[in-house]
Amino acid sequence: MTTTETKNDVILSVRDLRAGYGSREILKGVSLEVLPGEIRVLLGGSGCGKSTMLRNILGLEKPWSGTIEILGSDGPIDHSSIGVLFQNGALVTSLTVGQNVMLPLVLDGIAPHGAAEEVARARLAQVRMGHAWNLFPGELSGGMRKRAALARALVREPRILFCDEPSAGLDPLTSRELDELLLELRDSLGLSIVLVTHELDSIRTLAQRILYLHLGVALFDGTLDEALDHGPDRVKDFFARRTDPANAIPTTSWEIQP
Amino acid sequence: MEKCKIIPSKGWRLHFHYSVANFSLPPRLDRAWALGQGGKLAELASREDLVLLGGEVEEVDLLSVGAIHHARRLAAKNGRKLSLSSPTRLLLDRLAALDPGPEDKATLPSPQSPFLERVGMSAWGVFRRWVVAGQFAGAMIFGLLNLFTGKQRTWPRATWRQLHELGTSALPVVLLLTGLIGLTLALLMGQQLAQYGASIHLATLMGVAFIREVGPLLTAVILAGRSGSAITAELASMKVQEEVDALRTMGADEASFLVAPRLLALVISMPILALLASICGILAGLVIAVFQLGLSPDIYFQVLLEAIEAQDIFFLWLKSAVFAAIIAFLACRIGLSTRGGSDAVGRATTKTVVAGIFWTVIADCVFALVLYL
Repeated sequence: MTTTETKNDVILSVRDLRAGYGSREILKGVSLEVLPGEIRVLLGGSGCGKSTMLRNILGLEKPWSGTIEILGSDGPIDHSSIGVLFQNGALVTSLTVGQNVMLPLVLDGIAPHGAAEEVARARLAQVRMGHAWNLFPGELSGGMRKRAALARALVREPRILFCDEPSAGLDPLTSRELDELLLELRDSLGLSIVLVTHELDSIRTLAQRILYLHLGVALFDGTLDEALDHGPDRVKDFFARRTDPANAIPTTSWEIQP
Repeated sequence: MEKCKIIPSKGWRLHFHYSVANFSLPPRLDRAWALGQGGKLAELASREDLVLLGGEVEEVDLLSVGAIHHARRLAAKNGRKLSLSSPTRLLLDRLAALDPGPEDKATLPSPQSPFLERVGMSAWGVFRRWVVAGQFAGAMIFGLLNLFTGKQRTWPRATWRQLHELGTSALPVVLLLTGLIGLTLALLMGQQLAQYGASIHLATLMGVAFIREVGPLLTAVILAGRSGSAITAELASMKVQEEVDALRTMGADEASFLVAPRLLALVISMPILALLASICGILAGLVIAVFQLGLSPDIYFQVLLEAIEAQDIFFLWLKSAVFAAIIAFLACRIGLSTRGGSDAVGRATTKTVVAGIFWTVIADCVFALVLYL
């Protein structure tokens, strides 16, 4: 964090974002703010627009309208200020884990170089993957792939980390370890984190504020406690069903007569 | 069962009275019921409005649930209604757990638009595809320039790696196939020429055919199948596994990072492979000339060198480089525009091979018309 920043400086600001594919509108004017060191969770049912929002923020899709400012700039994204952890890690399969972690430094023109390699090795050790330097992604388990991808996402010391469903496909224990690692990294690196997830345990462990999307609009923006206390029914239902699957009401499209 | 009672009344007016039939479900909805009564239920439901009485159901088999849902689908298709009356909790739970839902209206074919509109939309689609292809070609050239000027970086020795994978490792198959085809062509042509006492011209024919046509074209066809498909498969699988998106978020320009090394490797390696393939074909002709037609190697080479001009080698180089650029363009474009899962990777690979061979042959015809007409 630079000395000129105050606690209220906004790391990421999305205002009135409208986006979609072809003629289909997915996001219908969504706004989001992320503060320094904050962990923000985007959640909602399938098809509500979480991934579309993330792709638009990351510049992978062009928004229809609205503004996206990362570190106060709405121009081209400064790639060194962001890190992204994709759902399956998205490591380049033809490169070793070490080469993958060094990749951002190669693109910056500072690798291969001894110093760059040390930075990459340190990041890999930080996510407890130091032993995997020479392994290929195909030789790693799902959890290891995600940790290696996390090391790659952090190798440039970004200010904000985006994670797309980090717990997807992981067993509860590995998922918890990854959550704890994210918390640890947030504290040690002063990161802001934007997290897309469905996992209630992860949300409870990590989320400082949540943004609940439904059919392309923000249904709720606030803390988890606020959501449970006076959030909209749909948001409460979401958490209630997640908490106790026995509460799930069977739904049927049948017409029932008395 | 839909019953139509005709009730005579004053003034000879007819009153239609409809009632809906009930269909009682037995306590045990097992496999036997599904295979026997399930079919009858479906048949009835497609003819008339039915109410299923499910108050006694105590056991529900998976296949029975399927049979009941199938009956409702057929009923809906025929404009009939199938509903449930007082179902037990078990029946309701089982139906809900395996509910395919009503017919999705979105999947129904949309009404056909007017002919002129369809023609216009098709033309617009073709135009847009060409514009996008043009943009991709432009990006490819800029990617190459960025790679040379060092504005964009790629993995060190990426082009060398591609040269090995796309070029060097293709050498054995290219030489083997062109050698075998050379042998076959020389055998057939040698027999015909021998009948007219013109065996010596086998060298001329083999030289001209392989340097000008067979060598570059056959090499391009082999590389479209081997290297083109390899490029598409690799890029398409990177695309569907979000590796390309990950590179973009790291600031990598895909044209420089992924496309340029492959384009460069193919443009460098294909002319070399085509020249070696042509030489291999010509040497296969020599084998036939010596052992079948009884010519001496000295005379074969003397006639060969008289037939081939320096510009033929230049055109071989030029044609092969253009074929390489076409194949690399198509392979990268198709690979990077892949969407979907692993099946999309297979489809993209097939598309590259077909498109690569098609456009290579078109380009070859254009070269033939321009150079030799």
